[in-house]
Formats: sequence, C-alpha cells, structure tokens
Amino acid sequence: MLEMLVVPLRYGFFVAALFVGAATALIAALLGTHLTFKGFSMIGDGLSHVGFGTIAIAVALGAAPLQVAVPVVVLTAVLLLSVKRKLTDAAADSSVAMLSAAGLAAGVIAVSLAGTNFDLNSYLFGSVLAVGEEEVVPILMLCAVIFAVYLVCYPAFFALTFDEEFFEAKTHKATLFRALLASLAAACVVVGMQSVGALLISALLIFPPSAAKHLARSFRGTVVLAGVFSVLCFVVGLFLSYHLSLPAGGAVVLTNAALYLVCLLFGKLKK
Amino acid sequence: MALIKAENLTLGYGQKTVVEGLSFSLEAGQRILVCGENGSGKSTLVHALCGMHTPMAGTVVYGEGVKDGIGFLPQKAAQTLSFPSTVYECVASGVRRGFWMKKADRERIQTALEHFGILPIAKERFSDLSGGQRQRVLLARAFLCAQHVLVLDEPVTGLDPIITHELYHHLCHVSDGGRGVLFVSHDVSGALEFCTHVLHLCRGGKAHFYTVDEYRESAHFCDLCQEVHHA
Repeated sequence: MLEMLVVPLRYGFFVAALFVGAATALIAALLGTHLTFKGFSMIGDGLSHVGFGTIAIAVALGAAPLQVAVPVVVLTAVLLLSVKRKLTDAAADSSVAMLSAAGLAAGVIAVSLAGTNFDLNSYLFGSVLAVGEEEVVPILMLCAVIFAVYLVCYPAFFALTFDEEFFEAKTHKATLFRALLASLAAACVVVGMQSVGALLISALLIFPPSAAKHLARSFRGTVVLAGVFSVLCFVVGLFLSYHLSLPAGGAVVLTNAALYLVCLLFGKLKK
Repeated sequence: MALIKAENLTLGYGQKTVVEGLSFSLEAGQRILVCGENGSGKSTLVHALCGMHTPMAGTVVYGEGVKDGIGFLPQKAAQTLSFPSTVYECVASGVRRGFWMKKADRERIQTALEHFGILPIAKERFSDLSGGQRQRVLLARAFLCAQHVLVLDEPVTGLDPIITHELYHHLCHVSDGGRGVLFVSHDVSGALEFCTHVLHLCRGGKAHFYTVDEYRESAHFCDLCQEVHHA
C-alpha cells in the first residue's frame, strides 16, 4: 500500500503535477464557492472555452499561449459579469452559452489553421503530468498571489456573494470587487486548463463547494472544506490515474463527482 | 446638520420619471417615513440616497463621511435559500474588514445579536430561519454599520406586531444617538407614532415633505385613512 503511494513520487513529473494540480484545485475551490453560490456556476465553462479558443489562436499566430490567454480571459470574465448584472438571468445564461460555443468554434478553426503544431487533447482534456519544470514555479507563484488576494478580500467577497445590494450601499465598490473576483476566477481557469483541460475545469469550481455545503454549517466552513475536498480529490485522482492508467483530468473529476455523491447522501441522512 | 440633502431630485428609468423635483434633507435626530402607493418610487429614492441609482436630474449631497456610513436594509433579501451562511456571518458582514476580526468588532456584533434577540440562533443557518427571523438578522446587520444614517426599505415586512414595535423603538434609539433614519413602510398608522417627518410620494412624480403633525392634517393622510376604512 505504502509502495503504491511512494513509487509515483520518485518521478519528477508526478511531483510537479501534484504540486501544480493541488494548488490549482485549492484556488478553484475557494473561488468556485463564491461563483457557485452567486449563481455563476457555468462561468468557468464559458471562460475555459474562450481560453481554449484564445490559446489556439495564439498558437496559430506563433504567440505564447498563456501570455495571450490570461489577459483575454480576464477581460472576458469582467465583461461577462458586468453584462450579467444588467441583463436578466435567462439572458445572462444565454450569453455564457453563446460565449462558450463561440470560443470553442474559434479554437477549432484556429486548430485547423495551426495544423499539427497544436496539441488539441492537452488543452481540451488537460495534461497535468506533462507540465514542464520551468512552468511549475510561475504557476505556483500565480496560485500563491491569487490565494493571498483571496484571503485579504474574503470579507468583501463574502458580502458581495451574500447580498450585493447591501455591499454596494455600504462600500460603493461592488463593481470593483465583482471585477476582481472575475479576474481571479479567469486566471484560475486558464491555469486549471493545464490540469484537467478546458472541458473539465468547471468541475473544479463547482463540485467541491457543492459537496462541502452538505456538511458545513457556515460559509467559512464551506470554503475551508471545499478547499480540503478539492486538494484531496486531486491527489486521489492523480494517484488513481497513475496506477490505473487513466487520463488524469478525467480521474480527478470523477473522484470529485464520487465525493459529491457521498456528501449529498450524508447530508440527506443527517437531515 | 444635514446628513443627506436631496436637491431638485428627479429619478426614473429610461424615459419614465417616477420622482420629480424632490428637495428635502435628512438631519441628525430625524426619523423620516417614506410612504406612497406601489410604483410611486419609494425604493428608487432609497437607492438614489444610498448612491446606487443615478438621478436623471438634481443631486444628492452627503455630509462629511456620511456616504460610507450608511446602514441599509434592502427590500428583498437577495440570497438564495441554499446559501450556506450562519446568522453570525451575516451580521458580521456589516462590520468585517479583514479575514480576522478585531475584538471591538466582535463585541459590537455580540451587542447587535443580543439587541435583536438573535443571539440564541447565531450559529443557525440563515436559510433555515423563518421570514421574520431573517428580517431581524438583516436589520441587525444594517444597524451595525449605520454610523451616520440608517436607510430601511420596508423593514417591518414579515415581522410580528411585538417585534415591529420593538423595531420602531430601536429607530428612536438610533436617531436619539445623533444619527438620521429614513425608512419606507406601508404600515403608516403604526410608523407615525415613531417618526418625526413624512415624505409622501405620489404616482406621477410629485412628492410632499411634512412634519408628522402636518401629515396628520393633510389630504394625503385623510385619503389613506378612507382607503383603509373602505378596504
């Protein structure tokens, strides 16, 4: 049993994937808690598709993928959340769906233009085990910055999520913090695309808080538990993918789904 | 001293005007009841005074530091029923500035919880409470951050008569401490005992500002009494 845990850790690529994936899973769960309970669950899906399209276009043009994708996706997130504020929920859902489809379509066309230089699968389904050593430190630093900003802004994010009208009356900064939350989420989505891919990143935002809310009583408890669940599911999923020769992204997401079902049942039994 | 002063304020949406040419001021120690029929612009006025609605014309002038010291109670709680927060977290969001709270803030929260009789349910989930209990929680939060002005949009909705009476006493306590209170209510007869002024809004944009005694003698109050009598 112990050997099953130790053997993969002998490989540098596995350790790198463990650190990068766990850090990404943690910030995705923290930010996802706010997005989920604010009714923005699907925004991760829309943004990841925009990220995919942007990366594909960047590759087709010979530019650095992540350096182009991060600002474009951040800008899209800010615009999307501003639009949602002004439109009805139905129209906002449509705007996320349209953006999602347009992003994917742009990506598909760019991929055909980029030819064989673009690894479609790695961006669609993730390739955390292929994260290069030179990418580990920048990704961990970005995650650390997002985590620090999140901790500092937690009270504002809570108030914004719980009652935006009250928060705006109290601080007159709802738009600013909404944009900040959107920017952090967008950066998280772009980084997370490396771990589980564009098609599965929204799972890291939605599953952990949805599972945690069945066990925690408070919002802070939900945030902490979602973070713990997310990291735990990533680690378990990664080990499962290694030993069962499964795609890492899929294994991580299914582990999250299994934990969600367990928490859902536990929550029902508790009531 | 004017805490908030509305000068020739015109409010509306798109081409539609709901309040036209309104001028009045909220001063320290005043309790202004805002009343009028549905659609007369009460909530729009409240939003404009809290800086959340841009006037079509006119201005809202704030006393020094007042704009950042407004305690606000929204008409409708925006949270979904599945939101996993405790009563304590909700009330604390009125003063919380960092991840860790200062001792003084914790004491203020404790006082607010006791004041509104919600200390025993502080660890309960907000979503598990009754409508009246939720309203008391949101009121406690509004009271907590009202350094200068308290603005309440229909605060007695869902409250039983005893709690409603207590709330009006709280409003008196707040204004006696040098703060200004402005609240919207359809419970005009109950609220008149506790307010100092009345701002009556009419459909079509007209607004009338009275002292309580003037309002009791006004045609608006007579019309209201007749309507209630016929109903």
